[in-house]
Amino acid sequence: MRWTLPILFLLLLFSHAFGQEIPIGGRSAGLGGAVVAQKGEVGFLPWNPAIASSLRSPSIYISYAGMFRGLEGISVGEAGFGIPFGPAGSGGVVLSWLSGAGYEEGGLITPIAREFGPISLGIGIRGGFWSAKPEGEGRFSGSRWGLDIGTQAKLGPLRFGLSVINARSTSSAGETISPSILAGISSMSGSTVWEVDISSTGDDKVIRFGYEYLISGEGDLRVRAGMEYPFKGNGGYVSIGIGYLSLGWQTIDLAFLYPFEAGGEAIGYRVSVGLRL
Amino acid sequence: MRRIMRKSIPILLLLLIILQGLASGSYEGKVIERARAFPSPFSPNGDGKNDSLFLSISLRPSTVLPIYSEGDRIKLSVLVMDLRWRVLTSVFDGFLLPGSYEIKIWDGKDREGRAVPRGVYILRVEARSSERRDLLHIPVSLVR
Repeated sequence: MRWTLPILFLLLLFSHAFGQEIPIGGRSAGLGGAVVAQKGEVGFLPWNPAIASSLRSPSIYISYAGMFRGLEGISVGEAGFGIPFGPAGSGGVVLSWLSGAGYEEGGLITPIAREFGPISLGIGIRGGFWSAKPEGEGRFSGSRWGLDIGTQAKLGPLRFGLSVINARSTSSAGETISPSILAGISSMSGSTVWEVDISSTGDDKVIRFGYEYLISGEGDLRVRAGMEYPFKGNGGYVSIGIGYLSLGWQTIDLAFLYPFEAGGEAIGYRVSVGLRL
Repeated sequence: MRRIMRKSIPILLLLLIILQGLASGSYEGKVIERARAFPSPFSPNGDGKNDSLFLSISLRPSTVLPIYSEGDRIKLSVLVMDLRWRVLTSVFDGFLLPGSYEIKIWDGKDREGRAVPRGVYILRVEARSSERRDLLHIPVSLVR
């Protein structure tokens, strides 16, 4: 308990992150980004800070998103850890980065959350730095920060999630950062997990589906599929993935993404490794 | 030890899949001989420097039809997508004969004329002739 406040202070002090609704984690991508009502994984924290409340043991996580079909130069990744503080709640830090075509961006997200019976409340600060240097010009760079808030509620096998990403935000470059409102419902029973989310960021409104099936006992091998589909316009993708829990404390998740606009070809993968300490 | 080795097999398989994926993908195609977008980053802020994105592209002649015959025309379409694979705008949609071109292709606006935010974008370049088709993606970045 005596370390709780210093840790919370450090999390807030070093909080920066970029806010893109791109599923980077192997499991979140495999579920089509429908994770706002999921629980207990560091890789889900960028979607809803309240998810931190269900971290039951310290865990670390790293994920890499690679692309192919000419896009090998784009690199996206994230790494983080989560810590339960005991009765005071739980928290985490997720570092993310994006690099490609002469552009660099990165930062940290720092959610903290606490359970109040079947309800969880979470809050997080995200910020980020970006930098690029066009040929023959000076360097362009800037920073941004935002405040995330989120909640989850349990009702039998169902879990409801609601989060507002960048509820308050500012940018050194004077950019307008629209808040993202995400709402979802999930079910975790038997060997299946499913979730349906809707998300709204300005004019961008999408629905996301995720489904996961446990093949072998004790959480060993899971297969999953997901989809993001826009309410209007185009875009979206289908994803497939597998996850494997090895030795009870290490996980590896892999997903492949098939954007509708990419002619039916897989164009990116996500791979994540997690350790529960 | 045997249990650990057995448990590691799926992880090794996943790594092999990843390496295979990394090895795939190329700018060289059947219709498109070479394609490059420049400058990247570009900065469409009206200061006269790097305000537009250009596409340099070489299209191969048909191996069946006589060179530069009417049937050898290649339909080229270029879309700009963000990293969530949303099409922001169509920046080129027309016919070209085989050859090399340098096309001023994008001013950093979406289809409704709004300036898109800084970041990394994807040019989806599709070239289609009567007998062949190529689809490639080129990453570009934009700052303001």
